[in-house]
Amino acid sequence: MTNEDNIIIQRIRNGKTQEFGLLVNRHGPSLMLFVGRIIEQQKDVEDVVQNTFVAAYEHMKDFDSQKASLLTWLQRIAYHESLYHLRKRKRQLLLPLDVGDDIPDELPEATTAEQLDEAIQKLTSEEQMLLQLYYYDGRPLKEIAYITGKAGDSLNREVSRLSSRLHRIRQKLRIILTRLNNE
Amino acid sequence: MNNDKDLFRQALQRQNERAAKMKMPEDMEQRVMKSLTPRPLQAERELKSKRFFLSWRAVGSGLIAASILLLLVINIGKNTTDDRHPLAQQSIRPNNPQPAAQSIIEEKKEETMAVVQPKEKPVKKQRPVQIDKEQQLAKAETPSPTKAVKLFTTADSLYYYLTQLENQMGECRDSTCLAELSNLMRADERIKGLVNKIIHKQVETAYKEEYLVDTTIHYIPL
Repeated sequence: MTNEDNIIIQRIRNGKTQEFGLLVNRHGPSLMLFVGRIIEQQKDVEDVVQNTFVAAYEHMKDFDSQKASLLTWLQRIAYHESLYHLRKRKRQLLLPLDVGDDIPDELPEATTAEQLDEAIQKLTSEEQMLLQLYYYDGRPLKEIAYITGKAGDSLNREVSRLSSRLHRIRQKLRIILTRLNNE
Repeated sequence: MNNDKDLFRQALQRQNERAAKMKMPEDMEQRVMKSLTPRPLQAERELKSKRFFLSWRAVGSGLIAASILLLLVINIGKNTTDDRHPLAQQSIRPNNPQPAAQSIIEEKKEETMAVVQPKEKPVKKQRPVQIDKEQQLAKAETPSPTKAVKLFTTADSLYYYLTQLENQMGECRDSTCLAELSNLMRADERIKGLVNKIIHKQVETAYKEEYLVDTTIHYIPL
């Protein structure tokens, strides 16, 4: 897969622009699934995926196969495109919470999957995506850091930032779940 | 913690199911390809921006070079002005009642200063004065007084004034000219007195330096 991607990329770089369509067909469905986790509307997801491919084409020269696979690189672009899209829609944090350091990050006992799902819905899209990448996909922190990081950021710094971010998300979930249980 | 992970997976499952329902539209490839900027056009754009940058850089360097050249020209122009013949740098005072006398005083001051402090620029060897009078006057109008005083010598000055006088004397008919003539005569007397004084001093000094008077032996040759 990666090898084939690299061959196609090389051809595109050599001027065979039409070959880019192959990449769209190969990775489009995965990106739809990826973006569909944080964006609910099908049309919006399509727009984001389309923008992702356009951005990928324009920055094709920046792709480094040593750093990550093409799909991971595309997901990185898609992640930022999705956040940009959501920011444009001015989707605010649904439940602003002050999370202190003294709050444990374990989930309350006897929490069901439904309750947790409900609590996750109250998180921001960005936080939901981090949970998806970490808990559902089971990706290593380094890879998630690569996807969520911005150009010029140090990967190690991004990993430690991500780690503390996941800790805070769990704290947040604990608070939300405690409130839900009390209601 | 592992339980937590499973719980998270189960909770996130719903989102994934929702996402899985989203199918990529068939025309996605066309849509993407339509949105792409054609590579040649992109290359052209890059070339354009490069050209724009290069042209601005060329304009900038041209401006810098031009300003340096201008500075150099101005500087050379200044130097040329300074190197002009001393006579051309003299300021002319046509309405001055005693031009010769004043210039002599200035020259004397300058000579005294020259003995104490050596001149920064040696005066160029004197050329015979064949410069057109009008040209001289035009040139002599502008130079700064300090530089002019610095550069001409007494001999130059006298030479210059004598040349002027020779030219003017033939046309001397009106009262102003006659008055100036009498001023010149007075100045001439003063010059004569000055020259006599200098000669006298020089003779005295030469005499003192040549022989040392001793009380026991009358004259000891040095």
